[in-house]
Amino acid sequence: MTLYIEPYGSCYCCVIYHVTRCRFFSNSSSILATEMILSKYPWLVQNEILQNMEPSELLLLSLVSKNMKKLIKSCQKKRLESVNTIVYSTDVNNYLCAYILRESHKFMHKDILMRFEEFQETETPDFQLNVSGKKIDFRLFTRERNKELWLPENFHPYPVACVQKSDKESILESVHNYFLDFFAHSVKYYWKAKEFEDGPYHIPKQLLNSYPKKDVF
Amino acid sequence: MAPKKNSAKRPQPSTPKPSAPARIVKVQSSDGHILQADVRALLLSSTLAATIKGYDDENKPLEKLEVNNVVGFTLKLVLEWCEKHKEDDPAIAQAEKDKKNIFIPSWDRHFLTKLPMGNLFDLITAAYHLDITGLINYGCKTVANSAKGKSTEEMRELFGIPEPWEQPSTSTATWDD
Repeated sequence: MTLYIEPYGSCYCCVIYHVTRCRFFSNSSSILATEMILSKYPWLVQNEILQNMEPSELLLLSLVSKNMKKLIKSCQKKRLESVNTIVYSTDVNNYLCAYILRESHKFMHKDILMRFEEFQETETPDFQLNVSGKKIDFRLFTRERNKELWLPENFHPYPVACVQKSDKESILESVHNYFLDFFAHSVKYYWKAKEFEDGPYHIPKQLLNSYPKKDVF
Repeated sequence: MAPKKNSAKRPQPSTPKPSAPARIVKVQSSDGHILQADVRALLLSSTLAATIKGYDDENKPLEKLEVNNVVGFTLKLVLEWCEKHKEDDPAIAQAEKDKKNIFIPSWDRHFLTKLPMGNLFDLITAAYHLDITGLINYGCKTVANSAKGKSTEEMRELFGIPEPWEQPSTSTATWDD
């Protein structure tokens, strides 16, 4: 449907009312599609919007559609190429975490890309995505959901892959294959084995095959 | 007491300078609506600044500026933003552009977030056509912020990405999966 807004004689309240009314009487997906379509922005604006997103948000957005992934890879080529190191490690709760390690002002920063949590079959995920040909359930780690935890001021929500015990290996393989495709070939992957003493984790085959042992420390 | 060291981290709007009386010109949108604006506000747009300079260099009287690719409603929003920022140092916007984390001042945050997404889209596109760096910076940051904490389905709706089964079958489709 076409959304028409009177250019004059309208205040913001009228506009919002008009949009709300249209949404109420029409198919919700069509009205939203007419509201803001990223692909219709000029290329430089698309680039600016993507530039303002965190790596985990770009990663998640790339999984929405193949063309979105192409757009991100072309718009953000320089940024993706600037990623030198991705580390698999455990966080304070002993969950496997994949993060970008970057140096800024002589300090090392971690940009979390994804976390892997064991998931009970009775729990409900937020959404499901096809990652390198494998359907994986996801939840979002947000501030609202983790009020009991202290989270830094610059915290950004990130996806949590819901891992079932029987499927742990194939999920990790699929996610790692996706990273290999999404980020530049020059990225070095590290597996911080010392932190996995409590529960042995499967190391992705690609990680073992592609890199010398010194990178798996 | 010495001022805090980090007080200069965020760019502050420049203090209003005592200046000459406002020079008001008419601005016409693509759909024929005529608005009035202070020239200092219009100078935030590199495109309009070049046109104004052209008139001034030739000593031609500037009666009306025509903005052919922006409709009246959006132009009104653009002029409202420019009016608010007409005292700003242009170097602020340029410096913000190169920063990783853009800080959106509260007035701008309120101004941009209250807009429905469709209007925000038009506003950013207009800012792009008129080359208004500050408005592009804040607009794009607002759009990026709106994706925070969203599931992929919500991102799909927010950015108008069709479902795989809604894709056109032609190879020229924009978002075909």
